[in-house]
Amino acid sequence: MIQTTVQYFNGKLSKPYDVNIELYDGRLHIFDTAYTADNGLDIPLSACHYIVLKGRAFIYLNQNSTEYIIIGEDDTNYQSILAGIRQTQNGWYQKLISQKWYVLVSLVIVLLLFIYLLLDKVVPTLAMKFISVKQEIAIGNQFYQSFTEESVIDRASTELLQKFSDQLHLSTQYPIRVTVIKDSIVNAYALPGGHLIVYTGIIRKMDKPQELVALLSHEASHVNKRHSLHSMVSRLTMSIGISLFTADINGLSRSLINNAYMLKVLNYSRSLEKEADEEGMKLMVKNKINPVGMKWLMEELKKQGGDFPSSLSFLSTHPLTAQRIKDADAFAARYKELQDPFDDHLDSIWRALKNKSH
Amino acid sequence: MEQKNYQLSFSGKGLELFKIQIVNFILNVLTIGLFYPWAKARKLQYLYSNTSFEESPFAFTGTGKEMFKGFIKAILFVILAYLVFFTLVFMHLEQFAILFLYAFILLIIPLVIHGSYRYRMAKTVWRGIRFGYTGDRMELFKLFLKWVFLTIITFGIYGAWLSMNLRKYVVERIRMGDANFIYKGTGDDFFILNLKGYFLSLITLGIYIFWWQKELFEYFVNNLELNRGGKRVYFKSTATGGGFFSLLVVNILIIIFTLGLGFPWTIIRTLQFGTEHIQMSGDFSFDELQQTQEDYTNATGEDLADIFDFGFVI
Repeated sequence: MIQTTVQYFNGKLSKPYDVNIELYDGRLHIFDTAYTADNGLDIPLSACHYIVLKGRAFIYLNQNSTEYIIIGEDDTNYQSILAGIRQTQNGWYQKLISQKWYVLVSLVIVLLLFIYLLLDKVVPTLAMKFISVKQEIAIGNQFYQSFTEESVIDRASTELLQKFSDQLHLSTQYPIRVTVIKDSIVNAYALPGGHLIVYTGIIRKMDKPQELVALLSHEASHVNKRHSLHSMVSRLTMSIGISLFTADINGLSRSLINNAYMLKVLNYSRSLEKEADEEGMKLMVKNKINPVGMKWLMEELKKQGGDFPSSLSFLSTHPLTAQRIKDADAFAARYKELQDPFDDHLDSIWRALKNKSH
Repeated sequence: MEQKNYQLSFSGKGLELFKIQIVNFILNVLTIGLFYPWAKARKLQYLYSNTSFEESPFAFTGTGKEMFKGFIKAILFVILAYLVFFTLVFMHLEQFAILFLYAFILLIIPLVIHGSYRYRMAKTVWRGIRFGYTGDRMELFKLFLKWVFLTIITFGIYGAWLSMNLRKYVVERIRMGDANFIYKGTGDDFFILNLKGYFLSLITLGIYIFWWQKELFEYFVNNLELNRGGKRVYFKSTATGGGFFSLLVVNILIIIFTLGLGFPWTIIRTLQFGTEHIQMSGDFSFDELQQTQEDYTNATGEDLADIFDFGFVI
């Protein structure tokens, strides 16, 4: 190998010395120009690392970067020494960093999509498999405790509404338990495992018993389809995931990700509402009650300026309600024959409940 | 000896730093965040090696392994503090719990400053010569508590003196081989500078902030000297308010229009601005620095600084 003369810093003084170097068998030999060959340094390339700055390579001879040599691009040993050092550094990091930026960006996108699917689909689906109906009911009961702790329960109405719902076949798997809360909020929601919470505000708005059946069927469908549990689990995993993976990035990107996720949640909850509407109307048909009650309920609420009740009803807007009314109307059109008079027993409970709500 | 000018320059590129950040992100995700110390080492190595003084690059010699060990210790330390906090909450001693938390954060600040400077300086190398920090942990601890006490009883007015005393203490204990730094700033000047900056910013509806920034930068740089056996290097800022205006406004625009992805470019721009606007001159020979500072591998303070987001403040 050819000997060349380069600058050497010895890690004791900030002053360069001229030395001769020679590359031999993957090792760098460094000799003082004034001395003979046998009392120089002999360093394996694997112990070296380098940086290139303005056409000069700074080759550090140890981890502490205290000793180094400077080789110019025009030095005959330049390419072979750098290639030799690169060969000894073949870790994951080197492989990744040597890719083009757009390859890396694509890799990030694929990785994020994969994690997104994992957190949004795989983990919740697995969790749903592992959480049995019995456990779900227990979880729901706990939520029920904390949700109703600070509310005023209307005992008499609760009893009446429970009687009403017991007359219907709302669920095969879950015990449907209703609770009426004294509050003017026009809303109702379902907890995992069969608890339905109904506010007096919404009962007051209803005109016909079919609307009440529609409401209960809608909420019971959330329970049957395990919507609340699913959205709880996926929210939990996503929020843990997001906080883990955005810990290292700047505030703006983080808030963008969070907002994108909120939109996604909103969209998801809308698809759940659509499903609960449909399943709810099927339940009504099963109970031999005309599903047109769903349409009436929505129209009533739209007229009153309220939102259609749901477990996740935030931000749902009127055009959306209009679409749901249209869908309910189309569904109900197929069951015109169910236009018979309403069941007497149910009707009497309904009237008692209605009296209580005023 | 005649007066000489010295060269400081930064040659980092936004795209290169972006790539480093992307790879760091990928590896962080795949390791659920455990790669963080290695990621930090990579980033610092890049930024240091692209900063040159007198045509010689700096080197950051800290390793992911060292910082990982520090990271574990720092985490254990923080968990311990949380345990105490929640035990107090659990015992319904909420006031004491909050008091404890404030005291804890206050007390660890000087310890974190000490630890992070010791580590960071020992890992900063130029022409094979290590930097070092020779401050005394207990001394800084006592001084810091005294300054904080004075700041509290003066309703924050002493804060200007706290900052300058702290800066002077830390900077004057930084070594570059056998050379040492000197800082001549005082609380009096710093107080007036900030008072002026505050009121002028109010009057000009915030526009003066950029000129205030310029003055703060200038106050740091112009009061700095490097000394070795009586020979000096003097530092001088050439930054202007307009320069700070375009630096900061463009940085904000980059962040907004790239949805945050342009963050590495703003780091590069900032470092470029800083190095371009520090002039150095003196009768100092940079060929004569001797290796005097020992290596120091405990990164607990450095990692605690990260956990509490103290940044690397002087």
